[in-house]
This record gives sequence, structure tokens and C-alpha cells, in this order.
Amino acid sequence: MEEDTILDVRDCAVVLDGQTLLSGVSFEVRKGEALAIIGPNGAGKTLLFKALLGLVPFRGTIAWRPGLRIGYVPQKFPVDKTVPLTIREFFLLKAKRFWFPDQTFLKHLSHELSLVGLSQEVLERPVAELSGGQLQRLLIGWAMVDHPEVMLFDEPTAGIDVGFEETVYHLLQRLQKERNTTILLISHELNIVYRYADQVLCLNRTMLCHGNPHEVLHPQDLATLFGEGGFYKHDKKAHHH
Amino acid sequence: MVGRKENGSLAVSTLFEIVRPSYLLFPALLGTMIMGLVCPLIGSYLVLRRTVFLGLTLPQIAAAGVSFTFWLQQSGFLPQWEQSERGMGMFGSLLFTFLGMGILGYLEQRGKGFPEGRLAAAYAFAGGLTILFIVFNPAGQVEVLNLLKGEVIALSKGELRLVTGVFGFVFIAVLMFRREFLLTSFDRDLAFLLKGSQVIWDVLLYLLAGLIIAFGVILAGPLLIFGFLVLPALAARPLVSRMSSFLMLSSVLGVIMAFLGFYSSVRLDLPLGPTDVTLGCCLIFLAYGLSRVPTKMGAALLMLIFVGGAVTSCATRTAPAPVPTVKDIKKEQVWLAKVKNSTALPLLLPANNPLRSLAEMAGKISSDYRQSVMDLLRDDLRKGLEQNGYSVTLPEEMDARFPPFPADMNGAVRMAREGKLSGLVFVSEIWRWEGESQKFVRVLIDFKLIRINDGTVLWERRIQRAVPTPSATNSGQASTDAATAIVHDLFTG
Repeated sequence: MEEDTILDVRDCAVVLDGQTLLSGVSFEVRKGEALAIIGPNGAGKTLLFKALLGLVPFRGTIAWRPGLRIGYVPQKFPVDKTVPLTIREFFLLKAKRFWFPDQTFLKHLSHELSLVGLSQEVLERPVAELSGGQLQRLLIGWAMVDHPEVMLFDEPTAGIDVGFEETVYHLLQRLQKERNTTILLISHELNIVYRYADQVLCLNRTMLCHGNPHEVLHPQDLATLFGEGGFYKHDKKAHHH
Repeated sequence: MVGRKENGSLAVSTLFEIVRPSYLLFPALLGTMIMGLVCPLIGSYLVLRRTVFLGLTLPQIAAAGVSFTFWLQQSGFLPQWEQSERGMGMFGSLLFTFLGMGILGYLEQRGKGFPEGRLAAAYAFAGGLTILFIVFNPAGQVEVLNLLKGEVIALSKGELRLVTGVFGFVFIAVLMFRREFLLTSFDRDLAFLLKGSQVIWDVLLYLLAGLIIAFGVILAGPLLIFGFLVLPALAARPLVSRMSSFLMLSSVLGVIMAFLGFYSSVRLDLPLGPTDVTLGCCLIFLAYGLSRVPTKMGAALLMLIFVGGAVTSCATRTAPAPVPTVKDIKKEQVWLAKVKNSTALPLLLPANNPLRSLAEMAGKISSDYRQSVMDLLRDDLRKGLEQNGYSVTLPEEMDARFPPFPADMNGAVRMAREGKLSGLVFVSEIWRWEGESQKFVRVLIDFKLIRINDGTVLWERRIQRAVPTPSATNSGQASTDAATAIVHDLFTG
């Protein structure tokens, strides 16, 4: 692994219940880069994230630089509506002291919340009472509260209003510039990929392209990827997301 | 009515009597409260994980272990465990609980089927095995059933030390690792990202759960342990919005449930497990009703006030009156009828009862005569009445054909008049007399003092409770001590 490489993936494959859901994925990510992963529904994008995070078994090699802090914003976060957990407690799960938190962490928490557009007043509200958009902001805030070196965003703007979409992408840029955070981002929006990503990875059960978005995303490639012929014909068993 | 008096302060003292360390059943009360404190902490995590049914299945598996061990011993595969039946039961309970957890964990790893289905099948299987092992072991049926009923009321000081040790260990472990348990119970993926593999926390949580279930089942019974695990947590859930409050309130409600259940059980002579579980369910209904109160803190306070009110109202029940004095009954003659046994059991004392031997030696009874609980009680009643200055006569001294009198007023008066008796008749009827262990006898007896000529009930008393017999070394002595204690109660109020 080169000095500035923080993630090296070699011939990664995911096989679940005897079905190959992802194969032949190889790429590298350097510190401070933004990598966008695109592909149609069911292409294995979220599955790739889960493999990177070690949440599903995989074949091949996934090598992170040792000692990295990783933040993850999932696409879906099903919250049990009756779980008695406040937003403050949700964040304190990441603090050194959960039951008797120190003031420094709480001050830092207020600052991080303001970055995602949440006020300090929401801290005492139960997590289950948040709307979809608020929950998404919360998850982003939760992922970045301990200043991870790498952040994985799985469609971070899904289900939130257009105004907040811009906020999210500006936040990504800010994280990159101010904290030199490496970003891995799953997105369906090509304009976002062109604007914010240094690299793009096209996926449809296997890796179709990888490189600078302006160099590798040709109209014919996109047609192959997203067009009718490019969609993977998956049945119910193969449906992963 | 003669002898009926109000004495609220006496009844209040009864409530406070059970919390005195010198109270005979104090170890049982303390043990129940310790279980009520610790079990809901584990149960809260089961509720968060939506694996509540595990709290029902594991106690049932533990119960199967108890009946299995007794069956093995009866069949000669295991040596006799001289020291304690409970010790042997604990061994079986622990063995089956951890074995069951291992199998359930393996199936979980394999990911076959769905969790509720596996737990339901395991519960049904364990329930079936429990009954089958009891059926295979007819000689020990009663002992095993008593153990599975979990008479926590018979908890000794030694067993209390064991409960304190085991549950104290679990309590400390839960406090130490509460964040890890919370994290893995809330969201496994997030927990993995923060702390890596969660297997160790899963295993530790289930080991702690297994430990309190295995010990709790043998000491308190599967029903009570399941109730303590789940009901306080379910009652606390609608009242709080913070995790820390949830865990704390669950434990507080567990202790309240334990104390109120114990008090009701002793006071009203109800079995502890069902009483506690019923109270726990009432707490859940109450909690959901109170959750409509605008502030959570207000609802929690109202709940505590309600529970406090319930305790107070129980405590201020009118105290029973003692047998009226001779002056009260104007020195009328009292006929002491034979005690009627309505239990469907013979209630004969064991043949080796030393009192019987003494009576035989004195030539008072023949060698083929077996003394009964009814005889004991009547002897004690006679002594008590005579010591209080009553002029007591036995109906059979007038006519040997007199049978025991029923406690029913009409029946007793009719029988007395047919036998041409006059004055007062003292009748007693036993409805329940169960010496489940040597430490106490559960009784339900009616006593009445009736004026024969007009059928007036001058005094009546129902004794319904577990009578402690701490110094008894066998069931005959327990019955003897219980009869003495009951008669003492009648004359002191």
C-alpha cells in the first residue's frame, strides 16, 4: 500500500447464500479524495459499503490503513418508535463517558449539530420522534462527531428536501477541505458526482469503470450502466437492498 | 357483634413487621426484592432487542433441567444429593439453561428460520419435556412440582446469601458494561462500527441472563422470573424518553412489584408468582394510562403515588378481633365441637410423631390410632379457652355420636339443637392445611363462636396465611407448631 493510500480493495466479491452478489471489484482510495460509487438499483453499492465496513463476509482483499476512524451514514436507519433514547444519549454512545458525560464533549456536540442544521434544543428529544429529514441530518452529525478520517455516505440526501441537499454537499466539501476527510459516497445524481467527486466507480454487480468522472463517464458507458440493457435482471432472491 | 374492634395501627404494624430483619420471612422478602431489582435490568435489554420471548423460553428450559435432574436421580443415574433438593435442582437448571442458550445461539448463527419461531419451538419443547420428566418420576412428583412452583417464601438465610452473591455479581456486571449492552441492543451495525465485533457483548449479556434465570427459576419459579424480567421494563417504557431513566425506572418498578407482591402474598395467602405477575401486568396498564399525562415525570410520580396509596390502603385494613372474653359472653357454657376437615386430605400426622408416642405411653390413645391435625388444633383450642376462663365441654362427653360441626352457622346450630345442646358452640373448619416445607404451613381455617338458641354469631375469624414453623424438623412438628401459633393468634388478635 502506498503512503497516501488509505483503502486498497483487490478483487473483492460478496457471496451470500451461494449467490454471487458482487465480484471483481478493485480500487484504491487516497487520503482526502472523494470517491463516488454509482450504479442502478440492486447493483451492489450498499453491499460494497457493508463489505468495506466488515458488516458482511467477503472474498478478496479489503485493506484499510490501520488505526483509521471511519464514519458511516447508512441509507436507511430503522428506528424503533418506542425506544426510549434521546438524541443526546444517541450521541453519547460515541462519548468516552455515556452516563456522566463531560462538558467538552457536549460543547463539541452542539457545534457539530449546527453544521448539519440541528439546534441544541433537539438534544432532549427522543430519536424516534424525528422526521425522515431530521433523522438523516442526525445520522450525518453522528457519523462526523468524532472527526473520522474517512466517511462513507450511502445516498445521504435520500428522503430529504432539496434545500438540505445542497447543505449536505457543501458540508462534504467542507469536510474535505477543512478536515481533509476522505469521502466515499453512493449517489444516483450524476451532477453531484461531476461536481464533488475526484474519482468514480461504476458498479453493476461487478466493476464497470473506475477513474476520474470526466474521463471515464462517457454517455455510452452511462447508457450501458443505467440504460435498459445495462440493468441487472434480478429476481426476488437476488434482490439485496 | 362481640369482640369486633377497629385497630388500624395494629394492621399498619403488620406491614412494617415484614420489613424487620427479625421477621421470619425477611430473607424471602429481601431475596424477592433483589430479584426484582436485578432482573428488570437484563429484561430491559431483552425488550430493546425485541427478544422478550427469550425471557419466557429460558426459564422454561431451566424448569426442564430441574425435572430432568430429579428424574435421573430417581432412576439411579445420579447419586442422592443429601444436602439439598434445591442444590440438585440448581445443577439441572444451570446445565439446561446454558445448554439451551448454546443451541439457540448456534441456530442463530446458522440463521435458519426466524428467531420467534425458534424460541416458540424451544419453549414448547421445554414445556413438554418438563411435564414428561415429572410423569416419568412419580415418586418425586410433589417435590419437583413444589420446586418448579418456586416457593421463594421458604428462602433460607443461606439461600439469600447465594441470591445476593449471584444477583449482585450480575448487577455489577450490567452496571459496568451498560453502554456496551445498550449499543449492541440498539443497533448492531452501528455498534460494530464503533466497537468492532459484538459477539463478546452478546455472549456476556446472555450468560448473565442465563445465570439469573437458572438460579431464579429454582428459587422463585419460572413464572416469577419471567415476570421480573419483562413486566417492569414494559411498564417503564411508556413513561420515559431517556435510556438512563428507562433502566432506573424498570428496576424501581421491579422492586415495587416484588414488595407489593410479597406483602399481598403473605397477607392474603396467595401464591407469590401469580400475585407478582398480576401486579406487574396491572403496572403496565397503569403505565400506559399514565403515559397520557402531559409530562413523563408527572406520570412517573403519579405512578409512585398510586403504588404508595395501594400499600397504605392495604396496611390500614381493620385488624382481626381476638376471641371474646368470658365477661363478654356472660360466662355461658361453651361446647367445643370437633374440628371439621374440609380439605379432602386425611391430615394425619406421621406415625413417628413424638406427641403420639407420649399419648400412647400415657394410655390416652390406642396403638392403631393416628393423631390428626384436627386433634392438635382442638387440643390447643381447649387449652386456650380454659386458660382464658371459659367453661369448656366436649359434645361427645354428652353423646359420643357427635360429628365435627361445620363452620356454617345454620348447619352448626341445627346440629347443636338436634343434639340438645344449649349455650355457645365453638366451631372450626379447616379448608386448607398444606405443609409444603418444614418452614411454614399454609392454612385456611374458619372459627366461629355461635349462640345456639338464637343462632347469633358472637365472634368469627378466618385464618388464611402461611404460618411460619422455624424450629420444626419434620412435617408433624411443623403441624404441631402451626396449630399452636394459630390458637395463639386467636386469643391475641
